[in-house]
Amino acid sequence: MMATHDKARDLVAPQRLGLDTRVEFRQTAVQALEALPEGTGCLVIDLSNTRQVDSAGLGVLMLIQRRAAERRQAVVLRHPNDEIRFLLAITKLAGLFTIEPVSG
Amino acid sequence: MPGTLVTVEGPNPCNCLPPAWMRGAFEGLPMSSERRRRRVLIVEDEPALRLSYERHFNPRYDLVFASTGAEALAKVEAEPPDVAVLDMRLPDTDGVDLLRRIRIRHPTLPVIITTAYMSIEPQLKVLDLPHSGYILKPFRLDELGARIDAVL
Repeated sequence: MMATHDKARDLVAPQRLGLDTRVEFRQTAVQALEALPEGTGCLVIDLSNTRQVDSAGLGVLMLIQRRAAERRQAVVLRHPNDEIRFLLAITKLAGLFTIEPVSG
Repeated sequence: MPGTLVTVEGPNPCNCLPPAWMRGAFEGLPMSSERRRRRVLIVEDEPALRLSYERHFNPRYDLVFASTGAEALAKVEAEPPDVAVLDMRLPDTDGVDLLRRIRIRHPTLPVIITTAYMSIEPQLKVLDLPHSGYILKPFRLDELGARIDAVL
C-alpha cells in the first residue's frame, strides 16, 4: 500500500518481510523512489504491522537504501518493533536509515 | 522393600491446597528466590543495543549494564548477578578474556557470550570453561531470553 505526499512516499511493509515478500516489496519501493524527483524527497517505510524481518528482508531494506542513496533520497523506517530495531542495531545497519520510533 | 514399586491411589498430594489457616501465613515475608527478579549483567558498549535489551527485558529481569570489561568485573564483585551476557568485542578486552577473569572468583556463574564469529566454539572448548556458552549474531531478543531462562 502506498500513499503520496509532495516530497515523501509512504509504503506499508508486509507483516513478514522476507523470502516470500521481498521481490514485490522491493519493486514497489523502487517505483516509489523513482516517482520522486531525483535529489529530493524520501521514502517512508511503515513497519507498524511488521512482526518479522529475516535476512532476506534485511537485504531488501539495504537494496532499497542503496537505490535511494544513488538518487540522493532518504529512507525512513517508521515504527519498527523492538525486535526489528534490535536486528538493525546488531547488524550495524541502523545508521543507514532514519528511524521513527513508536511514540511513548 | 527395596526395588519394589508401590502405587498409592488417591488425590495427587501436589494438587492439595494447604488448610485455610495456612493460606496467607507467608504474606509480607520477603519474596522467595523463585519470585525474585533474576539479576542479569549485560556487558555491551553499543548504546542502541543496550536500549534494545532494556526495552525488551526490563520488566522480566533486574538488568545491570556495563560497557567495558573493567566495569563488568567491578559489578560482578560488588553484587554477583545470576547470569552474565558478554559481548565478544569490548573496548578494553574481549568476551573470552573477560569470562576467564570472571571464572577466577566465580567458577559457577553462568555466562553467555554474544558473537558474530563461529571461531569462539573451539576457543571455549580449549579453555574448558564450564557454565558458559555463546549465541551467534544476529539473534532475536526472544532467543537470548530463552538462553538466559535455560541457565537460570
